[in-house]
Amino acid sequence: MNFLLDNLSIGFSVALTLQNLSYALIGCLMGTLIGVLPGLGPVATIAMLLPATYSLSPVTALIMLAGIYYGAQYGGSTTAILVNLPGEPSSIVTTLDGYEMAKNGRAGPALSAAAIGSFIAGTIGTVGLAAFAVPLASVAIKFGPADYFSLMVFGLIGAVVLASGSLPKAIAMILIGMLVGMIGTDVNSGVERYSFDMPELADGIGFVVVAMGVFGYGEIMQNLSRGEIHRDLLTRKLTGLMPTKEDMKAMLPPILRGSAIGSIIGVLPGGGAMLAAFVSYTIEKKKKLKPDEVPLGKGNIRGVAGPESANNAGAQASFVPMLTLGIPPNPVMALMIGAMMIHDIQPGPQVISSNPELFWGLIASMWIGNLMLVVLNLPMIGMWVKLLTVPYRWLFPSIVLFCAIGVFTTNNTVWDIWMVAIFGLCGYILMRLGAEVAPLMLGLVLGPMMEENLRRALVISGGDWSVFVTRPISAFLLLMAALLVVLILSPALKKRREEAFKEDD
Amino acid sequence: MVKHRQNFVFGLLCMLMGIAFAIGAKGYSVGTSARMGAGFFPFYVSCLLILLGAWISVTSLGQDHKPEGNIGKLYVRPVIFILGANLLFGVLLVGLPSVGLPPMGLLVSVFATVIVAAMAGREFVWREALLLASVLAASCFVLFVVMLKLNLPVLPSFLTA
Repeated sequence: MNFLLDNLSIGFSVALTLQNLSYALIGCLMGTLIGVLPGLGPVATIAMLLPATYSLSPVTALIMLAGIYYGAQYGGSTTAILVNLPGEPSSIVTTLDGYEMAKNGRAGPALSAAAIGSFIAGTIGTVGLAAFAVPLASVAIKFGPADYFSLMVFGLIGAVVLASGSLPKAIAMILIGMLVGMIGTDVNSGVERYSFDMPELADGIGFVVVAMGVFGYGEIMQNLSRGEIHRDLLTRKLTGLMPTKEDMKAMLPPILRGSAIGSIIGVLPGGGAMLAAFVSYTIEKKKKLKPDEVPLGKGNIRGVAGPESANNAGAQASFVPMLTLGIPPNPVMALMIGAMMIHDIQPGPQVISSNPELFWGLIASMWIGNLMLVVLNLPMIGMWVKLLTVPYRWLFPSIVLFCAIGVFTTNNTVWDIWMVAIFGLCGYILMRLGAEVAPLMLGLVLGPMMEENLRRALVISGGDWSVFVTRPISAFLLLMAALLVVLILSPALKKRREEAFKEDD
Repeated sequence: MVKHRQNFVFGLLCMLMGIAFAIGAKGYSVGTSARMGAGFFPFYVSCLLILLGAWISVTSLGQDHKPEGNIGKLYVRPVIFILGANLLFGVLLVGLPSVGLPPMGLLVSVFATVIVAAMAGREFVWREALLLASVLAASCFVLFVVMLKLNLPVLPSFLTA
């Protein structure tokens, strides 16, 4: 416990410097902004802002980027409650009860339930992250190449099993991502693969370019194909933000349950904010109603407080595998790994001991950022609501412009602008074919890492593949991955999974 | 008869891509598992992708047509204007020496990009697009050149030279 306090005090001394505080604030504001605005998510935003962080110190850069991610969870709930449109996928379930509450004139309590729940969950998530990261990293440091390879297999399988949509298609997207990741110079042999003798391809394809093309342009083209989104703003004036005593009493248990669910699910590969919110809602729905309670889906405060707590806790917990294992559980974390590598920090279990101020500073800043979000957002809710009235036809040209500038300034070459157009087109086509693009990003980042670990593992074993099942850690992880596949393929579960994902469409 | 068109096309695309990458991988040394060559990993990943693509395509065949699998109308307009705006930004910012276009700088590029991108939408109003472009050009200048001090040319090169 003392050890934890010592570390947290290092963290707060880093996070409380004026520079880091102001970048945390910028990140949180930016995150809320994109959370409120439809059609722009944290992945595209973080990719756009990466070049702007070059001149910052690594810890400051990560603090700002992290702020964008969890700030977006706050912002997403505002639109979910007020206009019945989730700003972020993680707020999809919040629309069910949040919008009903707003219709009944209880938008204020719904918004504060979301904010207070998020803050409590953020606090629990931060403590959990601080407590679990160290033991996990000390286990991870014993991992050999074979164990890492199996961990990545488990991670990728987990990511697609937990994601919605078709399983074979998601696996295919991972494989496509891996192959795209093969482009460029092979670190081991120095051979340039799939580069067609183009010097620009020798360095490989940056994932910023892919993320921006697929999540930025692909998303916009998909939105424009669907036609103008109608946003009916319910309440222009908000009164009575504070929840009543009964509200407080009703929302506390779901907040605590949501925080616990989020903290656990966020750590899992493929987990993160969206799945956590979904599971929390399912659990709240199963709970027996009190005699005077309105059912869930009809404007019950529990249906807002639980999922909103869970998505925030999930967002924070997904930093655990990224920081301790160097493995991204979702595309946002893949970008964070990229941000660390830009600053010459190799993500992995050694980060805690080699860069303690970065690790603990980031954790402390998350708690401060959550506090900022509550303090800022409840009074400023009127301003965010005004932003909702900005029509999409003004938004998307701005997004295109910032993507283009962001892509260009990443390496200051116009080559990246051609590449982002190609990936934008690919992303659009794949989305039209009903494939999800998140697994592609994970494959892109994990592919080269898997190749390297596979190679090392087999060199050590002299080409003997049984090393993956004779090493206990590796065998355990592969067994878990196999179990996941069996589970998902079992007919009973398959049907339930399909139903579950249908519900939130 | 194809029952799920999205899956059918997606599977074919996977197979095509897998075949292309597998052929490419054969050009590098594959090696043995103890001494993996540069082609080893891409080759086997490609093979997996081909198999999976085939599986997805084959299982999308059948009699009962699934309407949710329809690809729907392909909208060319957003694709052309959004990607066009992006390409235009690159061309204008650094110029295109092969056709004698000099670098036009940030402000011109912003105007062109925003206006072309705005054309991708269903309702395009010139006045609105120009206003939006002006606001964005001003804020880009302040944000990227004044505040972040990025090394971007602001004005066309023939004006600054």
